[in-house]
Amino acid sequence: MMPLRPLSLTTPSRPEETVAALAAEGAAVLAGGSDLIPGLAWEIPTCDTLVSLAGLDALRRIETEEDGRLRIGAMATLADIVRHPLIRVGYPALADAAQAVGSPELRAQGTLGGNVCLGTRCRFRNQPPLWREALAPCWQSGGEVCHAAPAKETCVAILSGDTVPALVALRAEAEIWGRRPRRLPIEEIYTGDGTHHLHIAPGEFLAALRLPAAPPRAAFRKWRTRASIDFPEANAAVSAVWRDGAWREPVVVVSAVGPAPIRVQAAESLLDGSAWSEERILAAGDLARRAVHPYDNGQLNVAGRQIAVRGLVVRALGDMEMERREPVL
Amino acid sequence: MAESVMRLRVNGREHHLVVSDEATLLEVLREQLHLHGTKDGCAVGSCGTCTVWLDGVPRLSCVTLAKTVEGRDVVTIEGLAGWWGRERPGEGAAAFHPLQTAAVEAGAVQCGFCTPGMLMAGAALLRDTPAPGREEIREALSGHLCRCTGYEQIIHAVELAAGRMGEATPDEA
Ligand SMILES: Cc1cc2nc3c(=O)[nH]c(=O)nc-3n(C[C@H](O)[C@H](O)[C@H](O)COP(=O)(O)OP(=O)(O)OC[C@H]3O[C@@H](n4cnc5c(N)ncnc54)[C@H](O)[C@@H]3O)c2cc1C
Ligand code: FES
Ligand code: FES
Repeated sequence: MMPLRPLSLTTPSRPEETVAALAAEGAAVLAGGSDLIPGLAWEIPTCDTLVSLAGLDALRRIETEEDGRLRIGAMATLADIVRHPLIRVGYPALADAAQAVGSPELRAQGTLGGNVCLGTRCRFRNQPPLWREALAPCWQSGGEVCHAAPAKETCVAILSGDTVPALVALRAEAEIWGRRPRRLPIEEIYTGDGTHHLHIAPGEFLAALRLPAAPPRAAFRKWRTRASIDFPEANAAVSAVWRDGAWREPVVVVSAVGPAPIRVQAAESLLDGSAWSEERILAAGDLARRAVHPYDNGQLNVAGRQIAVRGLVVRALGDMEMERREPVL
Repeated sequence: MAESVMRLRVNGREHHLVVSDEATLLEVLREQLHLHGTKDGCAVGSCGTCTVWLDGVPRLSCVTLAKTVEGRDVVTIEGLAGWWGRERPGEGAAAFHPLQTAAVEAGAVQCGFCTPGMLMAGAALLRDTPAPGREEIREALSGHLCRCTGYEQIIHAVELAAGRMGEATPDEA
């Protein structure tokens, strides 16, 4: 067995200590570790101090705030989310997305915060060190080339967290703790650059996700190689509010096809203000397909992933329209 | 690299271990406690053969740092029969958990490399869901790779064990 390279682990019990520890050079957040530890086993992350959030009890809670919003602590596990009655009933698309992650063992360990902040993935990078040695170092490894997109000057690795599109569709807000705590719509935490994919600075961490008190209806879909365990080759979520005989304020979001989630505004305009006929749903799927340009860095090929995006959006919209016509209760 | 002493309960016994910060639970179980039943398959969370119970929940020991589970309760494949014996007071010590016996009978063990993880996941399912459906079994084992059996025999072993465990407690049926 290859031991991990020497590291130090600290588990502060107060937020101020966590902030201070995270501000140090080479520090990284350790949540459930189900992504970080496999990464370290393959010598991918460069950190040398792990700052565990497990000592901050408040981060594990799922609770309703005074104004009715649902606050999910970043350390709530995906298993906690899947079985939580308020989430199953009020925000089922999030429960579906959490259920689509990995295996039962990984969901018992992996947290929502870790899923949202998950390191980006690439077929050329997420490989054992010996395999990687055969290639010149890429942008993420301090080199100057991207093997997936040689013409690009930045890393195009894939944002692979399954809960991300569901959270965007549900209009979640991220709460970041640091010297100056702040809240922002979840989409705004992603930079679009695969190497530094989060707008979370050293000394900051994601503390909670807040979901609206009266969420829109939403649906989530995922495509992967093996239904049992794999990371997404593409995923999508949609949401809208049904009011006065029409869908309003639709959100169509596709992810796992680039370093950040993609809102498909053309599809949103098309879907706003009517019921969704089959033609409209298919047209929205086509717009989603045209809005994404995956690189060849997933497990499956680019054209397949693009076609999958169309199918995922069509099915998610179909799920919502069917549920409206024939509520299952 | 910091090393320190940590407490860990493994298969009902309390241990004090000198552990470095980066040591995984798998490493501590295999190399310090010499519990070689728990296997090192992929070391990156993909295969499930390193599965142990952490406070009763199946978890991947290869992606769990030992220090993060300080003071908690671990059951490995070596302790499964012992746990089963303690679970059923009055029945005496058990040499095997019913799923272990069923796995042998159903041909669910070929090279045996995936078996410890399969059994820990399967036994947790049988504890929580006494008469699991096929879908529930497949879901519980979905994080476990087997290169030999084709999975059918393993699913069958869980069904066989469930049937026998159900017969043993007719009052609960
Ligand atoms: C075999 C396998 C299959 C998997 N399949 C899937 C899948 O299908 N879908 C999927 O989405 N994921 C998958 N994963 C990845 C992972 O298990 C999950 O994404 C999980 O939710 C990660 O959470 P964690 O708490 O374990 O994260 P960790 O490993 O602890 O952290 C992940 C990253 O996020 C950072 N981080 C964690 N929490 C915070 C925080 N609160 N603030 C700031 N940064 C933070 C860490 O520094 C690290 O870079 C898989 C993993 C494996 C090993
Ligand atoms: S060795 Fe842990 S999952 Fe493969
Ligand atoms: S019996 Fe050989 S891997 Fe399962």
